[in-house]
Amino acid sequence: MPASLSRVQSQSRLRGIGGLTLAEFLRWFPWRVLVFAASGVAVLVFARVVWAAEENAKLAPLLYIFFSLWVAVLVLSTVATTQGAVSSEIEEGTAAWLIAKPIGRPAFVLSKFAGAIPAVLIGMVGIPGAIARVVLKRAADNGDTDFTAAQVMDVIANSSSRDEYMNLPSMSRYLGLLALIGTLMLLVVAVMILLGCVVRAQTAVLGLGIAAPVGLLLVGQLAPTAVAELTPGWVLTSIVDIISDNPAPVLAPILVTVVWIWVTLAGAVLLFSRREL
Amino acid sequence: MSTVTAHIEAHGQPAIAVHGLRKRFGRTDVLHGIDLEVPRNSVFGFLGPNGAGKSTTMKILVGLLRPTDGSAAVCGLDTVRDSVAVRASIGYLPQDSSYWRHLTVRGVLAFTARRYLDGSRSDLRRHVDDTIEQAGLSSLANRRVAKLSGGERQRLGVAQAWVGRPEVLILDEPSAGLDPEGRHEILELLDRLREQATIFFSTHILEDVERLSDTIAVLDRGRIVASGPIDTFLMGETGQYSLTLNGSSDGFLAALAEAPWVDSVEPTAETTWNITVTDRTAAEHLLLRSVVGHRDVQVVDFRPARRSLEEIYLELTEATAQAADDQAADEQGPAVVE
Repeated sequence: MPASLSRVQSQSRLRGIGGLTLAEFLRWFPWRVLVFAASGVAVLVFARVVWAAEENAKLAPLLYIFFSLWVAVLVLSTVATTQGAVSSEIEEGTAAWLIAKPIGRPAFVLSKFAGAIPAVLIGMVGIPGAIARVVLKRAADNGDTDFTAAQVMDVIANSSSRDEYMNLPSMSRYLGLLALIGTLMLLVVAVMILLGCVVRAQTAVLGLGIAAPVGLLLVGQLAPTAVAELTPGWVLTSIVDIISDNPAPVLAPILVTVVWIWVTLAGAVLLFSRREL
Repeated sequence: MSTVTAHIEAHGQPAIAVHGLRKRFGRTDVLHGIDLEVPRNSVFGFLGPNGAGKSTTMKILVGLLRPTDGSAAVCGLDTVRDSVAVRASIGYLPQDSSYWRHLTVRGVLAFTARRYLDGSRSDLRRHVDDTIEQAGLSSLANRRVAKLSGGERQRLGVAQAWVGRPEVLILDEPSAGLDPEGRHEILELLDRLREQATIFFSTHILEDVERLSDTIAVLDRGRIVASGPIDTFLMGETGQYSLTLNGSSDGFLAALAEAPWVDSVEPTAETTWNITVTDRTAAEHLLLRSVVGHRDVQVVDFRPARRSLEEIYLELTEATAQAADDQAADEQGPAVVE
């Protein structure tokens, strides 16, 4: 070994998280991110076509069609993409290859999440969200709706005139909607990582991953408000409310969901630390 | 100096020490409290039939499995408590090695080197290039892992275990499934590495063990049935020598049989005798001298009578199988005849 090289000294359980996060990040960029961005745009085009076929089209249905479809597509594609994040690495033996090196097990789990954050926030939500805003605005400006640009902004950004509910400016409201969607996707990623640490079969991970958001939606819709607002279901309810032109909080459900994301990741770390490879 | 090296030099521990190690999967006991010590800078061959528990032992050492009971230490550090530090001193080749398929050979080695070593990017690159050359992988450096043959993959496996320059190499069947040429290359590579690290390897190929190992242990049904320096194994504890003579040897042989350090003198051919001794040191000093001093006989050939490892291995594993069958029969009780 050349004298200029020295052995790494750290014995932290997070040892190796930087390199693993970078490796995970590179799995997402550029292809997966491009596919996600393209699927968002495809949903937008589809929604635009459906909406344009309607007589006396209003902008609000376009928003509803686009966002509800887009969130569904995002959830399903995130589940499909991340189903093997941990389970396939265990099944194929690459997890054992990594963990046999001086890499902390928590670092392995957390890097899966950390590496996905930029892809989820930029590729999945940010890029299609920005494109959607431009397209929606052009739809209004082209005069093929009854709405003026100011009305479009009102629908997109304010949703309604009840801004006192959040006391946010119009652009912030739109960004708030994107932030809610981004947080939901990060929760889905965290849940898929947790499932990968618990369940052996990849197909079972996939099935449970699809069932989890449905369960969340049911909790958000059916549970008493006080209970629902303690769960990540609140994020879904807020998204539905905003795209339905109803007032909805943004910050509080995001904070609750961030707590749940950390709880989920802590569970994943704990389970993976005990997992035999 | 790394903390691990400092630790060893301060305490002089063996490279690997295993005490009362047990492992249970569900209701099946795979390891029944094994004890093992691998001296530093030795090549230790770990033998045993399929399902004996060799891979399980290795996985426990590397921290992939947790022991049910007992302890295992590498370079004096506990494999459970000091897991990350232990793994910093180990290079591991699993039985079925897997790597991220999108990586190239160089990519696997560069990624692995960065987990073990600190240094500038150019120094690390040079170090990886050296390892690639040492492992005979130069022509494959930019090939994707998914496109490697079995032999190439195995060489990459040894190279990635070695690229971090660990103090201990744990190799689970490094030459399994290779053609004779591939096997030869792996053995050559290990032979080159023996000066620089402790090598603990498992295999079914007894010839490889004989060629490489200083010390061996035989594991069968989760129990160590024999362990020790390979010479002791091959020579037997008491020691046997083969002596071929010309001339009138009757008188000499009769006198030899009376020597206090000789246990028996048995003919194995017309002019060849197998001499079993009780004291190998005395035998090495006196046996040949006593023949040379005898006028009527000339020594044609004299050498330690080594048994083949295969013979010893089969003897050991068959004995364990027999013991297990006897125990099972005892537990079932006598057959009831109606």
